Amino acid sequence: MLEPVSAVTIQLGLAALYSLARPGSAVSREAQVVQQVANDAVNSVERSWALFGRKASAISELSALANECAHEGWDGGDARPIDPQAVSKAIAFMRALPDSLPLPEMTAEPDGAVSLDWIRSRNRLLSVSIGAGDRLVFAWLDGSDRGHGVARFVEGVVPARIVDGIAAIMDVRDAAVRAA
Amino acid sequence: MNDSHLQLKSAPTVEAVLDIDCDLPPSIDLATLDASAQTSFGEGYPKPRKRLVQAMQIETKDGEATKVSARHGLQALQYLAEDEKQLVQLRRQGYSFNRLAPYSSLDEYLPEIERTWNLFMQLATPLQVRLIRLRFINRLLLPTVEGSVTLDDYLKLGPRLPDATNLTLSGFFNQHSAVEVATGNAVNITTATQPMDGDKLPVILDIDAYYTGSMEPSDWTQIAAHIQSLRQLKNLVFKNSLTDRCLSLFQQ
Repeated sequence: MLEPVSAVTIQLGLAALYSLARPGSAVSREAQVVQQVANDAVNSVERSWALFGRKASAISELSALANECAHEGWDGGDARPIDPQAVSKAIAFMRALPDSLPLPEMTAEPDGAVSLDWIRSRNRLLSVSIGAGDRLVFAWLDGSDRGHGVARFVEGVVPARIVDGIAAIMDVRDAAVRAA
Repeated sequence: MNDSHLQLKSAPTVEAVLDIDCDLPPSIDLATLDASAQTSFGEGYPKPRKRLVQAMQIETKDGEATKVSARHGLQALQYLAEDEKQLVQLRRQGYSFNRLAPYSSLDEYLPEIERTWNLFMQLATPLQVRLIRLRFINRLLLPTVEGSVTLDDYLKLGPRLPDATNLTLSGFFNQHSAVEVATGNAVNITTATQPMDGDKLPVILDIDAYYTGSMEPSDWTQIAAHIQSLRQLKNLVFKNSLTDRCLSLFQQ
């Protein structure tokens, strides 16, 4: 039987699967079974270079960054160690990015957060700061225009404002990535 | 799952979870709430536990041995009832109420949810509610005959094999996501098999309904209305996922 598929919600992609694969609030044995099979499905997808290779490389880079910045004063000053929860959130964020968007450059911030940066040129860039919580602080510069905001990373879905912002800054014209 | 409009004699629900995710004050540290939470929840939930997340770190430097270390983070403070069938959680993202089997009816648990939510509000002073989630994990024990079961007899959304003659199904994991147009509620429906339990095939039907939107933490009327709306969606999914024959298993 054919079912209608929403062009808006289909953009969630594997978000629901990733959400199931993370430790949640449920405690029963059956909840663990669901988490395990969801994890297996995620691992199967992520073993594919075609489906996930680009993101796997980026996540590997982020892990290396996390190692480099895991100690107090990693910047030669008084920077805090990178927060493992911020690293986990940043990985989840990159997993959830629409495939047609370019992947960001990554840096650690002195307060333990992770910064993901899309840099088209010196005057065209967007930066998202990811800490341990669900808050995403973002800022952008587009020629003489600039702005900033706060959005939420909930249920493994990248907020539409940020998807649109990255697409605009990086000149991605593929309508499929435009969030509703 | 003996909810209103869905009366079952022996509910297959093995766990019901209500999550209320909220913005907590940035200064709040879960660990520091433990002592006062033990006092607040102590009467009904005398068994405290901590749920930790572990991050592994592997450090390699030229000419040095690889160092592996683990860092723990506190994910939730849990307070369990004496029989461990019910618990309340203070999570980094908010509040949870879990009910394990035997499950009776959400109507029976709602006053306790409201009471413990009010205690949570006093402890954690949430600034804003962001998400309400009602998750029901059901374990359906499907009878087999000589080790086989026709899944279509029990599941309306059963799996299909590309070659039913030469292939025998040995397990499945299926997930659907949908949005309820009228309410904006979203639902993830997951079905998965477990290894045989005697002569029964256990199938997990996990219904995870949630609403995303801003609400005042003190406005219980609005929160309760969303819980009821999610409950209706959950019941609709449950009934329409299973055949009458399957539903009759829970009337015995």
